[in-house]
Amino acid sequence: MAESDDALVAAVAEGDAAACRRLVDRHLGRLLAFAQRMLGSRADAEDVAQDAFLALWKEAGRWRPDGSATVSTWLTRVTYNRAIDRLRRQPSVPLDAVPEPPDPAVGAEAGVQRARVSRRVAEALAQLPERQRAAILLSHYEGQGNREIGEALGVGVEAVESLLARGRRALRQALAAERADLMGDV
Amino acid sequence: MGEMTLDRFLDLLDGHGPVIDRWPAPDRDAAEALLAASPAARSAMADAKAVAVALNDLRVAAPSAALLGRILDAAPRPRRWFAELLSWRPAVALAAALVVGVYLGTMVPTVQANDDDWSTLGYTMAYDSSAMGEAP
Repeated sequence: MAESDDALVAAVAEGDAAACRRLVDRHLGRLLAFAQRMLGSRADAEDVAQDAFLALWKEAGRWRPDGSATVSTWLTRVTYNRAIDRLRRQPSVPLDAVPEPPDPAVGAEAGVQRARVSRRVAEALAQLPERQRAAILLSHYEGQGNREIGEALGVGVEAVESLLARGRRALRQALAAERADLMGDV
Repeated sequence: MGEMTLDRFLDLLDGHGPVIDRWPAPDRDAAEALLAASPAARSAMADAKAVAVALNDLRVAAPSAALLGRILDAAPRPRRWFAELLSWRPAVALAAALVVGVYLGTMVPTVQANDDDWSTLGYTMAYDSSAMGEAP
């Protein structure tokens, strides 16, 4: 049976290198993806994800599993807060740093079209208000429930419902004109 | 089953996403009916599905070995008693000095002065003076 995150954090506090590795394997990929989609910059996303784990290493000795926050939610919250700090310092998401689109080599014309559409979605995401963007990302890519998203973002469940609805609507409306492109290759 | 308005349909679409099976159960049949009857509902549903497809296409590369290494390099190290002791060096030095001081204190014989000691000292001094050839 896989060890719980709480058990791994307790082992981290004792300097267990294997426990550190397991926590990183379990969470780094999703935190990095979340940060990159929030920030639009790979380098910034790596810094943010690294900061989150460094914060966990520091917190490990004081970690008390009490049911109020899971390790996963705690890491997401730290990543989100660090990402927001970066966005406040450098609010515009560089367009040359949006997430990688699918490989156009898959099929010449269809691949190019799909890559263009993906880039457009990335731009539309980047234009969403920060909390709407975070809610959409956590819901779509991580399948998190509204309660979990609320804990990560520091807002209530009703606020999450509103964030998701407004975010989805904004994306849907932004992409309405491109619907034919989007569906043409799926 | 009551009829669903387009506004209600759009609220549900944006609130729950493009999979009607995940919408509240009491709304599903009416939503399916509106979807079958309304081109505007179908268009909105297609847009929402298109957004989901496009989001799925936004891939992010896996973490690099360099990033993994930086994170693991900063991880806590195993505790070792000697290292712990060294980290408490000033306190350990003070405690050691205290122990040595107490030990040495118990090893030195105690001399207590009393009246007899002083008279003995006076006698000795007088004796020493005569021994040096001076007049008593």
